[in-house]
Amino acid sequence: MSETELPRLKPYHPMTFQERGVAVPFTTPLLGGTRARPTDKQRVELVIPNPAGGRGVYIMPWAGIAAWCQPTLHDSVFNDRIASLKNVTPAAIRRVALQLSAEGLAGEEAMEAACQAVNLEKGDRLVTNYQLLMTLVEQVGGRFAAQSTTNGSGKPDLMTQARLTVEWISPRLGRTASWTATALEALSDVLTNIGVGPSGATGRLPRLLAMLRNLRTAMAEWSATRQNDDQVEYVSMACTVADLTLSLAQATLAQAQALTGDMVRLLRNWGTDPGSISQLATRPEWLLDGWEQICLIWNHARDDAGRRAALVEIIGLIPILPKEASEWSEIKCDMDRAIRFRRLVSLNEDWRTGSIVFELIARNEHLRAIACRPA
Amino acid sequence: MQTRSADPAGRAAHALRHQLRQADDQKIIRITAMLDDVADPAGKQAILDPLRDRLGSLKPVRPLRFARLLFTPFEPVIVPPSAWRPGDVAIPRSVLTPLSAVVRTGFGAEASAIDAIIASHKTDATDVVTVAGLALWPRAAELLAVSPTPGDWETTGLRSTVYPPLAGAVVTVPRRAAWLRCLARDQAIGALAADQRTIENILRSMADEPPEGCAMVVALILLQAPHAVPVLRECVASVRNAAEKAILLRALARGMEQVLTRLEAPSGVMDEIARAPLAAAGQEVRRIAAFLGEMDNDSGAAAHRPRLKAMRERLDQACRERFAEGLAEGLVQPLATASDALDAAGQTLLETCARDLRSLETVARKVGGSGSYDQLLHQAADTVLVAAKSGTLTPIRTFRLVEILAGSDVATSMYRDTVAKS
Repeated sequence: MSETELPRLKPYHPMTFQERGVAVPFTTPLLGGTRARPTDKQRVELVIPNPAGGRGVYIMPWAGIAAWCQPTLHDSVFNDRIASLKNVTPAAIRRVALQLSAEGLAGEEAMEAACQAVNLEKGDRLVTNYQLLMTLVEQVGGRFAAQSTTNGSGKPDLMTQARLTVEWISPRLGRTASWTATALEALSDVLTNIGVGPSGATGRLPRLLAMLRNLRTAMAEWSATRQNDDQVEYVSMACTVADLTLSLAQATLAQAQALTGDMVRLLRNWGTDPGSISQLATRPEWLLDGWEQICLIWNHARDDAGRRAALVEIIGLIPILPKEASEWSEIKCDMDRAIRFRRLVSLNEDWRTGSIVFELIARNEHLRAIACRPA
Repeated sequence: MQTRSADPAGRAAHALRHQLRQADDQKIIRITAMLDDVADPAGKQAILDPLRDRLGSLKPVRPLRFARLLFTPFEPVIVPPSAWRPGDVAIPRSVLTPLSAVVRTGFGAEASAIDAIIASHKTDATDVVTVAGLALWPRAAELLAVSPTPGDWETTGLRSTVYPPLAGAVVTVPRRAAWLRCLARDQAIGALAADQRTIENILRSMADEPPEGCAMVVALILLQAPHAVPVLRECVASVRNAAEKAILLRALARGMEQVLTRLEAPSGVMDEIARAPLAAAGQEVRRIAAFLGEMDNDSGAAAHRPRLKAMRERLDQACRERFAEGLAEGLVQPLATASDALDAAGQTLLETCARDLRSLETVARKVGGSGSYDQLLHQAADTVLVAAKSGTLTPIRTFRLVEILAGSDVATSMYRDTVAKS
């Protein structure tokens, strides 16, 4: 597509996370940082960062992409699957990404990692389900005179305790025991990523939060050794947005993790308004959306030259926090200050259009594999 | 008449050297890795010396040692002793050991700090090379600048009068090695335009250095970071002091001549492309193509145009030959001879080979036009399809190889057809 055929660059000041769109881990280098969001007509449109690194974004449907660059097979299939999604959320996009990797569309390394990740996630959901059950036992087990719940060896019979607890609490919630068991399973789907119980720090989102914290520290340390004003400013911008995101994500993660502090209330609310519980639990994921790729790009850089190149790439990908984020916590969210340094960054022609495009696709596929692996 | 060694060990070494000359690239890389663990430096050198040319092309990953780190910034201008003459813009390999010994002795106990940084790392640990290099290169330059002729200089086969001017020229590079490395790494990752401040740091006080040293620095920039040439020219043009400017312009001209001569040499860079691993061949061609492009755009290089045209033709020919050979060896042959379904490791090798071929082809088209590349890629894609029919490749593996070789639009169309049929 020639420059005259391109849609006009549009300003990008999303009010809500839906409007910001969800980061899609496309492997085509030119599509780095692209976000997908639903339109009023129940379709999906893509928000593509200005490839020149300056302000503004291109907004276009997938049909427009085909004229703009040659997307990889992985990305074309990704788009087909996004088009059939009912809700475009970070979790849904991650599921599709995992599915495509498991099918082998992002290469052998990503396929192996994704197949392991699918099994691990099943295991994580089971563990979360167990932890929710045990938390419930711990919180309400003392409120009723339980029968002797020890097994033959004298140790507590946890499964019997759990069954009795569910049987005791269900009528008090106005539900059947079967409803309570199903609700706990559904809640484990919602809460697995945030990490509950004693393993709270090992959920996917706490891990991502730690990854972002490490990135922020590493970038700041690297910046302290720089003399180039532009690089220092870019890092400063990235750190400002990272700090804001970290504060908000920590606050919303704590809110979500606190849900299990009162299991009876959680179950009662789940019965009447499951949407609001899901919303609360998914806020950290919306806030952190887009940062994983940034962390992976930075961590992939092996030396100073690699880090300078990573910085150039990262600057165009930094997720802008929409105004809605301010409503999720008491933390002030001043994006205008954070993004004031966003400016044109020059890139070597080879980087996007030349012979190293194949290397970049391979790198992006390698990053897909890393994203599938637990930290 | 050549007399054969009566010493059994000598005869064994002679036989081994003969076998090595016939060995394929992978075997040489494996043997080099084995020899890296051998403690006897003289024996190792005797075996590896006849292979230096091939090692230069293959660029195997080697353990990072003090001497190797010290001379990393010089790599493209290190030449066999027989090819070196006093005043050349290069350094003979035979001086590396005595010069390294001078630096090591000068560092004294502090050399162990460098050893500690590089311990158990290899030459591909770019960050370690940079960090340890920063601690080594500037001080090494100052040690060499004041060192008398080393006691073991005779091992180089050079006269002692050669040492002072050679050492004087050599120190010009490590004094600027940190900045040169910056440029070279930027070129290697293909990501950034040259930084003007880096070039200014390289040029600072360069006019005070010997002409061979200045020209060596220019040659290293041209060979490792040709993308920096326009900024280099601008910086030289902006020098106000007429005498300094004249020295730098002479260095530019001499460095340029050195690189052109090197590219024109009958068994030079073009041969290296033919022998280099595919991934390295693509990068090498990219660098040479960038250099030729910069020369084409350079008004001061008009006199070189006929030479550039001839070099472009040779480069084009070298690319075509390397591409055809790489395609046959790395892709067509393994697929055609596979008796079982390919496993993950086999598929990864094929994809890497296909990507390396496309990288080479993309840059090669800019050198000499499309020519036979389309036809060869088409043939390769056909081979993939035949292998898929015979059960060697799963559908997804087939689509991925077709995607790299024939384009994602073809692969996407095949994928959708398959999905529709199922």
